[in-house]
Amino acid sequence: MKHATIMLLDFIPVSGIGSILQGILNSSSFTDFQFYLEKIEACGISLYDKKLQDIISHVNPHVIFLIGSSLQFKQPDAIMHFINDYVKRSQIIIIAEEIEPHEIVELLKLGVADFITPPLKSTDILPRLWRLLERKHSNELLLHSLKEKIGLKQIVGESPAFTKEIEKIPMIAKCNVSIMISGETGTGKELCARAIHYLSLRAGKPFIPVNCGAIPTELAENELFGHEKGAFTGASQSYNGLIKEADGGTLFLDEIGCLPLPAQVKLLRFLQDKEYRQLGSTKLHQADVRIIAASNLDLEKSMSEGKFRQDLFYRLNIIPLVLPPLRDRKTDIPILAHHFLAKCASEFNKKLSDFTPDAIQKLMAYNWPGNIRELENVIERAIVFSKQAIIQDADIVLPRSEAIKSNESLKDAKAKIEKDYIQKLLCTYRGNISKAAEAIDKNPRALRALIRKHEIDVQKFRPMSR
Amino acid sequence: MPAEKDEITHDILAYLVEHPEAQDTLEGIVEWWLLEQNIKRQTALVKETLEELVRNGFIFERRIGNSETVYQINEKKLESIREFLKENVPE
Repeated sequence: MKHATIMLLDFIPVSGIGSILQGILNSSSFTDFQFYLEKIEACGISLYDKKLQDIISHVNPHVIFLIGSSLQFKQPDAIMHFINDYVKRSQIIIIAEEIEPHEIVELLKLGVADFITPPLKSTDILPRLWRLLERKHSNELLLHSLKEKIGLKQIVGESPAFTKEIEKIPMIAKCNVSIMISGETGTGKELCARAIHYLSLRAGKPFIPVNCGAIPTELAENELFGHEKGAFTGASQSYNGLIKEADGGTLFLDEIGCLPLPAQVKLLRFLQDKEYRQLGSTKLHQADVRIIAASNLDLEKSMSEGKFRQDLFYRLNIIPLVLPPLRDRKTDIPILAHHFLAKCASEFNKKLSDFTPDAIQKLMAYNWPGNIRELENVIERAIVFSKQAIIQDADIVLPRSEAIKSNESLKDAKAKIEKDYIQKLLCTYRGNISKAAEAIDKNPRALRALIRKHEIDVQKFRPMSR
Repeated sequence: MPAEKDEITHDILAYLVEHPEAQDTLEGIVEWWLLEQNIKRQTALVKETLEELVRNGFIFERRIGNSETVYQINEKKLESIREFLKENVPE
């Protein structure tokens, strides 16, 4: 049996959370927890207090649980001071309700090891603690730090909108909270989910990716939770289900918005209790699984339409990761294009090293509805068909409607935008040129000149006279 | 090519022996399992090389603080190191 010293600093003893936690730790049959409970009344000591430092130095715990209201943890200075000055060997787990996602990320940045929201369940608390207590040797720490540095380079991009999200990955990897990754198709949601898994303490355990949209509605519950032999006609053998498959590791539920409502209810119950029943079984099963969900749908809209449960959304969306579409990170297009060129050219045994400026310009002008996946396919096709050492703009084949017509000059494009703008303006002011000119702070005579230039029929915008 | 395939075979099996519960798709194996084995192999190789350089007297090994080890050049051997570099240019 393993031994560990646990300290609990309870800033809200009236909540009873401390006693529940104590009960959970005492119920462990694998680890003998030496337990120190320090109840800190509201008028008592704070995280800055010297008295607290003395207590921690004396106990020297492996893990400290800090139980508090969201207010206590809204003082990052106090937490940083506490971690840097008082806590030498301890890992810190915070238990609190109603903390905003960005505040959780801030706490993790400061060095907090994990974050838990009540209600507390032994099936959730104990595996988290065991993972933290498996101390890493210096070799493992070096491996982890190199994996973080090199592994994250596989997620290519430098634009601020993108890196702001990617920088969260090492932080959210080390804690155990549920993550919701949102982003359009092809933005790299699975790549991020995998990075979270392999940089977490669950690396080395299963990573099971599931596309919920690909599971037939009537089979979703069975796929996730499994069934007992004889549970339904044709169930001649029992089936474990994906939750059991992912035990100890991570289950990545892509397109979570496609999960039917009955399966959503069961998943919510599993997230709350870490327990579930297989189809046709009365037996409760337990599994220690981290769920990372992803969606390319607007889940808020799905909730308002009653297609997605609000309570499940809030359980999954503890820390959101929002991946921007490629059209919002256009500066990354040349970087990604060169990345795919280097990757695919060797695969196709072609000696291609660069793109012409026109080719890059063509890539930059496109809207990329299929995002990075579409860009990769376009580059792959260009490599296959390229006959020169450098990829030309003619090698870049884009869908016709989105590609810029090479014979259209900048002057023509500007004129088209100007005409469109004036037509919309006249539509808004029902063909009243004076009012339209006033709205855009322009002389009515100048506006009339533009209308003539673009041969716009103003009558079209005026209400029909009787 | 066969040597490369042998290396991949070794790396996949070594990863699974170290992590018998691991499961992932082709993408995950390429992106993370092989990466981990590659880092381990490179780290072991660099460690072995450093030990050899310490034995040769080209560099010093020094402990800082309680645990970290740092390596630095032995300036007295600067001339021999320059000679060594001239004679041993990697292909």
